[in-house]
Amino acid sequence: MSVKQIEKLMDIAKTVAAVLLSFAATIVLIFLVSSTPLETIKDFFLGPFATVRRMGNIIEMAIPIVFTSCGICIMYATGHVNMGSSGCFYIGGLVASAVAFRFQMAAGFHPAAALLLGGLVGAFVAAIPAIFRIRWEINEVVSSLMLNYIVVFFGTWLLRAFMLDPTAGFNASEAYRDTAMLPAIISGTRIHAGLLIAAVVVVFSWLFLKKTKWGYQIRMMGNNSSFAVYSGIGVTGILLASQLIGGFLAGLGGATECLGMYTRFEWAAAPSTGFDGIMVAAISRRNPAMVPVAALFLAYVRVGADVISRTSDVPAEIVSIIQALIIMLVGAQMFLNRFRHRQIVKASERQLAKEGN
Amino acid sequence: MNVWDIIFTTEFGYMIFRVTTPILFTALGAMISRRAGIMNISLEGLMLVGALFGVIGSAYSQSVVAGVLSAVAASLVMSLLFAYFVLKLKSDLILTGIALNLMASGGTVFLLSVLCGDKGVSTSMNSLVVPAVELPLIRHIPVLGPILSGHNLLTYAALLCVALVYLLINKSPLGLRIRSVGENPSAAESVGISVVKTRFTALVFTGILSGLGGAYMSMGYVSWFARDMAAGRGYMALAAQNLGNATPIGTFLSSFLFGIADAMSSSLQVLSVPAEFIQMLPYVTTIIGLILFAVNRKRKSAKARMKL
Repeated sequence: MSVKQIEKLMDIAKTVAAVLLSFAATIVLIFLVSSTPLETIKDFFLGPFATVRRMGNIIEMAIPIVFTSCGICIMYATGHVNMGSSGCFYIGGLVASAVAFRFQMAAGFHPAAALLLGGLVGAFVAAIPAIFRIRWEINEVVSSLMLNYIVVFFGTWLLRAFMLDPTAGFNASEAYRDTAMLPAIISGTRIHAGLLIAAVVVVFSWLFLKKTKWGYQIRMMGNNSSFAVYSGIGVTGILLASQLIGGFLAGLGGATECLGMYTRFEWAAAPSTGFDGIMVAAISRRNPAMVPVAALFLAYVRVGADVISRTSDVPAEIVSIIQALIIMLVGAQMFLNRFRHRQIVKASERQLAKEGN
Repeated sequence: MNVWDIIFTTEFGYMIFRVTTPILFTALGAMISRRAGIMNISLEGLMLVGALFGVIGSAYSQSVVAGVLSAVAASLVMSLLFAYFVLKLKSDLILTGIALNLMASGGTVFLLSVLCGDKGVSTSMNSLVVPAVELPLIRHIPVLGPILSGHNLLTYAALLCVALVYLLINKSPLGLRIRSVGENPSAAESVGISVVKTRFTALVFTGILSGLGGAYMSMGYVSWFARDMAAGRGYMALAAQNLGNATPIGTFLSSFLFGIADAMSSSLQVLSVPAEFIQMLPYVTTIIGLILFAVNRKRKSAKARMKL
């Protein structure tokens, strides 16, 4: 085995170890708080596969995360941390919803227009911190976090002032027209046509990041921005482009989620999908090809937590502890470092011995 | 009602101090991290954990001091966890921060639900609040008295902390080490300052200060814990520190600016302007503040270059 192969395998081993460790922590926690620990643990791990509906839930839950996460893979590849995808996702859903109930269009064209507009608004929102960074060197972490709050307040006002359906009984927009909704594609579940769009997004993001000139420039900028500058890459253009694409995908995700899973716009706050995307991008090591796997995993853990919150005395929030542990361990460079080091030394020794013969 | 009728009252002045306190504590913590070279977004989580443990500690011990101490201890433990992952295991700063914030947001609800069977608020727990203090002499001064006197003890503690942090950063050997580690870690290392150890120490201070900010939220600002009650104040504190250019006085002034915006967002709700726009104020102020500061900095550095 070459050193490179070992490095790759170690990445996988580290992820698996992180998952196992956090599962161990979960089991300990369940024992601490539950009066029926064994039952609860079984429900947590196997519950998500118990019925077709729950398996469907896993996929439904993973779909929006795939969008934001692919967008974040592209945004973060530049090395600039835009946390705005949460706001992009929210506003994308809101704008798509407005198109979905306000306008009358042909069936195929209607969702396409709503999705496109949702994506464009998402791109617009994501561009703001990027422009602040380029123009005034303002830290994008702080500005994008603040922007998330502003976007949600603004969206809530839009909903209240222009979109509200007083007959709905709660703060929700008018119902979408039938022509706008994304149809369910697997009977017995709520899995919708957004799954296909998500698949396209994954392929696009992977090709874009790994196989195009732009993708190469983005990655080069993330690895070493001075080198990118000196080799004549227009760093500001690349930064802006990556944020626009990332924001577009997040907005598209919000739009897809609304048209696929809801019949009216009813978010009172930004869903956690933006931050979920950051987690999934971290677990998949910013490789869009691995994003669906990581997103499905996250969704599996969440469905498991939902199951036990209904069948036992353990609250669903236990999942946040699992998530946090996994992300921190996966992101930890020095975690299992000694083991990795030893494997590489061994491989090198073998290599040397071979060459000696 | 007119905007000015609301703003030019002693109640409004009093309110500014009240809402600035948690931001100020946490912003000072953020500032110490930043001076040590750490962009710390875990503050939001630290505050939240502090707030919950203040309630738990005071409810179980029936002692205010124990409540505040447990808030500080819980926030400190989280901060050390952050330090361990970032400094020892070399995790990504931002990712670790996000992870801890998620853990705090879900973990506090988890704990709340296990302890009192409610996922929203801790009102069923008999927790205590830090007492308010009437300042002798000052309270009799017209106008200023009602604004400055009668605040929560922690509000005065926060103001005191500005001075203490100033002394720590600018006048103490430890402060010098923290600054040198933040400005140029390699140079600091070359003269025998341990970067990891110094940053650990800085994060200890961050943990303590954010814990006090959290304790104030649930034991002064209100008398209970509510889920996600930090509501972005940790991020705002980070912004305040940024806007204050990571100096104690600058951080103090910008925390007050956000405090004013925050106070306006709660007292101007009676106006006919849509509530959402008023609620947006603190966040918009933050962004405008960052822009103004950046423009000013750019102009200054351009001037400096002209002189050369």
